[in-house]
Amino acid sequence: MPAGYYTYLTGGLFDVSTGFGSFLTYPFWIGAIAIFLIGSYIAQKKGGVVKPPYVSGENVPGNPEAFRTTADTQVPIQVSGLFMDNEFSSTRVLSYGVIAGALLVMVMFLTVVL
Amino acid sequence: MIDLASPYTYATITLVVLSPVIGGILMGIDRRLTARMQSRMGPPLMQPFYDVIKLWGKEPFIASSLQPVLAFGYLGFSVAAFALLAFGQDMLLMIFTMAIADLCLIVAAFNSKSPFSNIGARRELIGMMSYEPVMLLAAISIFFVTGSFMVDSIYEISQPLLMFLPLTFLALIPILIIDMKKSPFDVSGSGHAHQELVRGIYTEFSGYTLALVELGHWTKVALLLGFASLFWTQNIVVGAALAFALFFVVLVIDNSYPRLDWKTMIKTTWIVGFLLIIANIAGLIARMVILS
Repeated sequence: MPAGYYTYLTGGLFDVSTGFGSFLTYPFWIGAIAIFLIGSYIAQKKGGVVKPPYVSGENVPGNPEAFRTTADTQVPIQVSGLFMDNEFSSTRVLSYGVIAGALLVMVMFLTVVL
Repeated sequence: MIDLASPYTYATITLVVLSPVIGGILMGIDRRLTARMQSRMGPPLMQPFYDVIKLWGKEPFIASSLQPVLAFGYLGFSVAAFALLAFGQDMLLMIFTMAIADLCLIVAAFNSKSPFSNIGARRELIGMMSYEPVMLLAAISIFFVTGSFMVDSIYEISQPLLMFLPLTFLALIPILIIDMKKSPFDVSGSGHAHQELVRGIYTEFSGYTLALVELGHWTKVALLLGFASLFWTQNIVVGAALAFALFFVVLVIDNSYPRLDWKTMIKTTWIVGFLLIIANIAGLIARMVILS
């Protein structure tokens, strides 16, 4: 059997021409919705107590029972390279990225069309 | 066409359903082999399953109400991508489905306000940026041999794909390293305590949400090794051995190298991956020209 998309469902007693077209669009969407519905069901069934996120911190000097986390106070900090924003916002990286992306899309398009 | 009367269909569905189990066994082998490489005994082969069962039964704490849905999305889309591979469907759709699975995990990590989780999610995005173009080029190189993006078309060629695309096969190594979160590219999160973020993207998952994420991760490992086994479809045992050899190489690299930063990860993956695959495609074209 030649390679092709599975767009027909057949069995002993039935033969369903799904009418899904030549691509798996509808089955894919149905599958995606099913995944989120099942996920919601599991989330509802298992439930869970919402907890604040884990944050790092330190002991408070002179008070052995107190603990100060990074969420307690706002501290202005200068961060560079940590979130990679500077690198990806730079015109040099961005221009290379756009060229590389355009080339990749062109190659994919040409391989499929030609 | 899916023939529900065919035993092949049921065998494939069983394989898809069991894909997380296959990945779990591989993770068990991973732990054993890693322990042996470090002169330790290591845990039992089934330890990953014991861990997940224990996680499933733990008291549920979640960072947000959306987190469990997205954690299941990660598992669900990973299984869907594996199903596309097992049913011999489109490689590009498989890669995109895998990307959706990753995005579910990333959004779930971003959904928490934890700085560790956020940095892990950003690094995971960079990891995706590193290996997705290489993965797409690998699919394109397969297209040059088979004339189609369908996985089934690989089964129709007379010679093993490895004979045509040995360099593309080697380009799968960095992809597998990033996706398995192994050194030197375990920037977004790691099983080892040798990086500053350690659990990174997984920080805010616990209990059953972490169990779902683990199952999704196992499925993705099984999926990538399944993809690697396509390089020898003429004999399933040789194909599996080929995939296992790749898995072993990744473990050796994991135990030999320290973690490198994200810039090195992008550079190495793009330069090595692109050069290997483009050289392979150029070789194929040269061969076609000489033969014609």
